[in-house]
Amino acid sequence: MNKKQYALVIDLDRCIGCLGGCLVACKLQHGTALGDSRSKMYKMESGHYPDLEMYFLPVMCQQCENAPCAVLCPTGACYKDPEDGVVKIDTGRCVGCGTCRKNCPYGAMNFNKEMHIMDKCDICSELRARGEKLACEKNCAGGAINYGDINDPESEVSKLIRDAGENVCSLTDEGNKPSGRFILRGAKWKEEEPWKI
Amino acid sequence: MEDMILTLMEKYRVYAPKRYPDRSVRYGEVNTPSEIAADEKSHFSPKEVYLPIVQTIFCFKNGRCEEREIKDDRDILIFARACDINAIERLDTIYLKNGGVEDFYYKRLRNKVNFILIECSESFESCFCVSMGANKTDNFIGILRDGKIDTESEPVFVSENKMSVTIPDIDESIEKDIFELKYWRSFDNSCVGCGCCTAVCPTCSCFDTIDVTYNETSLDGERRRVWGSCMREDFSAMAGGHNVRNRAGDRMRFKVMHKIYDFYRRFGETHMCVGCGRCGERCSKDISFPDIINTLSGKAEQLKAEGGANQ
Repeated sequence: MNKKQYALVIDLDRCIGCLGGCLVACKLQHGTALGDSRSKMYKMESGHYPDLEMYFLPVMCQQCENAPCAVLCPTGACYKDPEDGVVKIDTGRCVGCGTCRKNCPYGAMNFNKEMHIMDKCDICSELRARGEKLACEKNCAGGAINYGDINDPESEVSKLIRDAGENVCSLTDEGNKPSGRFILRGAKWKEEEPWKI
Repeated sequence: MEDMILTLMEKYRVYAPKRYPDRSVRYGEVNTPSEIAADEKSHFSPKEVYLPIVQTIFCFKNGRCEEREIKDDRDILIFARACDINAIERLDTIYLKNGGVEDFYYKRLRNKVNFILIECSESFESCFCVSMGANKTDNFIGILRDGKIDTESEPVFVSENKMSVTIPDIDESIEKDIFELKYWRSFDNSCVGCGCCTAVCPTCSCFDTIDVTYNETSLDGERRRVWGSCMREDFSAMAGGHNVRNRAGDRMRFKVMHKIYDFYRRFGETHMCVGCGRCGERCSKDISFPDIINTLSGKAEQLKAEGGANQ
């Protein structure tokens, strides 16, 4: 049997870049401080006038298979939960050193200045435990956000991925094997990494 | 054996190496004997029991300060190997005998600590405790043997490791040359400065003090002591932007020299390193501490020979 790997599968054709659905809902849910965020929204533009193309790309933790944040966390506070494949932070062990943030290829680690600990998307562990929908999933205006076990061929997200065929993309793999998937039919996927600039 | 732990728990908070769901073995409070993972070397040292990763010193609430007290009156009992038991003496030196000041927060937990020896029937791959003289100890109240606690028998210690190191013979005449060795530059690119080696080390004692507030607009919060690491880039950062040890190689030099030279020079008796070998096992870049010590020995010998020839 395959190991469970929960991940977000985002249908970018449905994302209108409103910021309110995922980002604000996430901030409200997790009480993230002013100026901080667990997720970010990028505009991916390409082409020359008049042949222009643009799509929105919401980026949060990709729950990598070989998560560098978990490997390099000195105190073992950042770990990959074998139960659901989600990378989580044990706040009782986190010293806020920022090694994870420095080594995350997607800039998806957030530093909680008030508590001096790291903070990241854990696909709303608490809400999932209560059987509720994720904050971003529930509030997304276009219904673009889905989550589930991508290793289970019977799961909803696996069906979505199968249906999308070759229109499924993921963020650049630097050996960390990101689990997050993006479905993009309406535009050409850009390999650019705006979070690195 | 079930009873053994239960009896112990009346008097002690019992800590032992435990296997966690993510396969890591580290120290935690145990309630049943089956939880003790004694067949493997723990990935983290027992240091996290008496020198917690995150320790609240005091809380500030409604304009008042309140010091955190230890609520549990029981002593602490730790199942540990000889190297780790020796390591607590190194930490004692740093926290209790350094500069004539005792560290209150360390002392109040440390004074509760008692050990049960886990014998090593055979040395693990990366151990070099014999070279560091940390393979034997008498600081324990019993030995874990066949699932029982034996207080009568003589302990058995390893007398040979698969790995051995030669401590470099350094004195003041070559100190500066060692400091300037090109060898340290080889770590500039290989070490990523994550601080994993210092986190698993049973003798690393550095900490940072931070103030936290419970949320953005709160005036309530606490002062915490958290593990620090000299391998991290910001460890020696100063106000104004200067950083004393800017390069990874400089930080490696600092750590290595503290473990096998500076500590001994200041306090005598022993070197800081106990040869548990966890640092090398944990390193994601496979930097081996025993290899560094041996290389340094060769370099020191070479420098001395050259110095002798020059005079």
